[in-house]
Amino acid sequence: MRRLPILLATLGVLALIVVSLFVGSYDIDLRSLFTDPEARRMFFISRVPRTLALVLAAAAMAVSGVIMQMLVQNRFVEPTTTGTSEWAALGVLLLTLLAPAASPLLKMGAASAFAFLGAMVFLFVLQRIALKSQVIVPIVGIMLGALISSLTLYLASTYQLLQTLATWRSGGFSSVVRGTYEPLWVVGIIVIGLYLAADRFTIAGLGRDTATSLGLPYRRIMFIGLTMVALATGVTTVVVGFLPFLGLIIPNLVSMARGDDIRSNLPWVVLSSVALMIACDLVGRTLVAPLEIPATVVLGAVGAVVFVAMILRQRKKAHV
Amino acid sequence: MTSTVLCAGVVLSACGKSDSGSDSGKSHGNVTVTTAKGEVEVPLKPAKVVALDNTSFLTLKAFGIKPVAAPKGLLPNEGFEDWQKDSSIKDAGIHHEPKFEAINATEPDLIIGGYRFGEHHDKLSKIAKTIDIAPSDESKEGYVNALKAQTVTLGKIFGQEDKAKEIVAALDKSQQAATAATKGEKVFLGVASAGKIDNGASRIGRLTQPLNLKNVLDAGGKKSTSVHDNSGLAPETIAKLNPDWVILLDRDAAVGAEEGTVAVPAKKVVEGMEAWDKTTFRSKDQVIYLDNNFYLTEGIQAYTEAFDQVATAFGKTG
Repeated sequence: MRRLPILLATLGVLALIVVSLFVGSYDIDLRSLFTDPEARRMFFISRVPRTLALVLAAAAMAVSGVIMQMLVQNRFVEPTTTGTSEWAALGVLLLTLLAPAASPLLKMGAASAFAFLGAMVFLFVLQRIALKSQVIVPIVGIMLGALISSLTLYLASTYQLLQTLATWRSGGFSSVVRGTYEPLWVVGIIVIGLYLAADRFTIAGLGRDTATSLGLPYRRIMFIGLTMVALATGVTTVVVGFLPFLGLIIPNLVSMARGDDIRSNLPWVVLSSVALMIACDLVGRTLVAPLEIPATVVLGAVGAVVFVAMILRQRKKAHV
Repeated sequence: MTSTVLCAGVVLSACGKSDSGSDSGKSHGNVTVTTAKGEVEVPLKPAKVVALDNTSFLTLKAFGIKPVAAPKGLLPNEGFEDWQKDSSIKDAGIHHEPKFEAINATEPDLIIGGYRFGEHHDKLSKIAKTIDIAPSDESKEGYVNALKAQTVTLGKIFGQEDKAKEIVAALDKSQQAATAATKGEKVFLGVASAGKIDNGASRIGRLTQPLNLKNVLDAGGKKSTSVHDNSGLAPETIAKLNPDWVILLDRDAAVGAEEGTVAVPAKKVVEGMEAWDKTTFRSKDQVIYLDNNFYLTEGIQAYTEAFDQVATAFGKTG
């Protein structure tokens, strides 16, 4: 009986996945899937990869958010509010300039390396500021991100890559087909890795001193965590662009409802992120059909509203 | 002051290749031309010209005009190496960040603004007489005809009416050939950028306006296709619409190509797209890749060449 809610949630997400598999311009329904070989072919070229990409990317960003929130001990951080995503973008742009013909795998490597560097810079700056209120930390991150993103913009504008940058940042899921999304499976591995190491991150989330006195190799956990975040962010940024706020709002909403036990929260975080991501993509896909509004744009609109609501709620609490 | 200008004029006409020294040092007077801001009086055969409107570069070149300043970041990769390397041509910056100081320092007689530099018109006007004769989608007679008007006006200003007529005639000829070769086929107009192919109707829809083609994404004459131009388009959507032809503007190739390499990323994307295996345009190989420089020139010569491409490609299957 205790498992009933999560079972229902899983069924709900599965239903969304099925909807996602059957919405699109090409005529594919359950019948044609079995009778029409062309529809079946398109199903596996276009629909399945897109839905898988949505699931994996959503899980990646949500999990990245969870890890960062634990490591920084702040509820409002995630790759897009710590500048990590912006660093990943800078990495890809630099690689595009230096080696335009670089393979996607190399681009992901560059993006991940820069994301890692970015996360380190964020932590370094964070250590040096006195005021660490819940609200200041993400503002510092967003400022750092803006700094990096203006550098990226400057480079892109100098080398006539603005259009390329815009297309690629707000890329979304419209161009996902078989052959483009596969690197996202790396992210699936990271999600599993986090599940296995969840208790350690929960302890790390109690702070450096507590964690060390409990026998946790704090530095190593920190390093592993940041590597996971950098990989997830790098890969996701290259394949589908920025997914703003996802890693922030979902883990927070789940924590509000259930407390801070990462291991038992994780399934909920992943399920809710996937549900939100697919819902945003469905809205973007149907609203202006046959063209599309990128799911990232829809997500950004939803995410920004929830983010502001959360900050206001936090402020109210702080004043009491 | 007058003498310096005249001297510069003499030097310039001496340097100019096709300017066969027909005029020497006389005061040229003025000429009235029609611009986007109405009738404007400009100096005839101005000696020092700042060329900002990239659609006019090739025409100026054909007239043998060497500007005193041009946006070097907007010059196409091929055909403008001489302008690029010439230190007597100052860099005017690009439209996102014009170098007004540098433009001012050249003490120009005339600034050919407009198009990408359209929003800087007022500031430029303070430096020197600035005209906007760039083609625009808003012009009554349409973009392609506006290209002709622009060429004629340039010919009038620089005393090169005959050369201008030649250029316009070339466009007319290729446009007629392209119109005759097209017979209402369904076409998808795409822009390739960052390895993706999106709807390019708002950018190259002008190209098909005079042609007998049907845009597969044209929602019954409404402008709805261009509103969400950069919004993305799933490959399966194009497979479903199954256009007979695809005309592609390769933005990646225009800006990303390194010297000495032939970059056709769009071709790679099109041919590697599994979802398009069974489409008409792929099985019949009916894809037109516009010249890599189209994105940066967009002038009358670019359109002439594009119409030629269409006429040739459609003529073969005709």
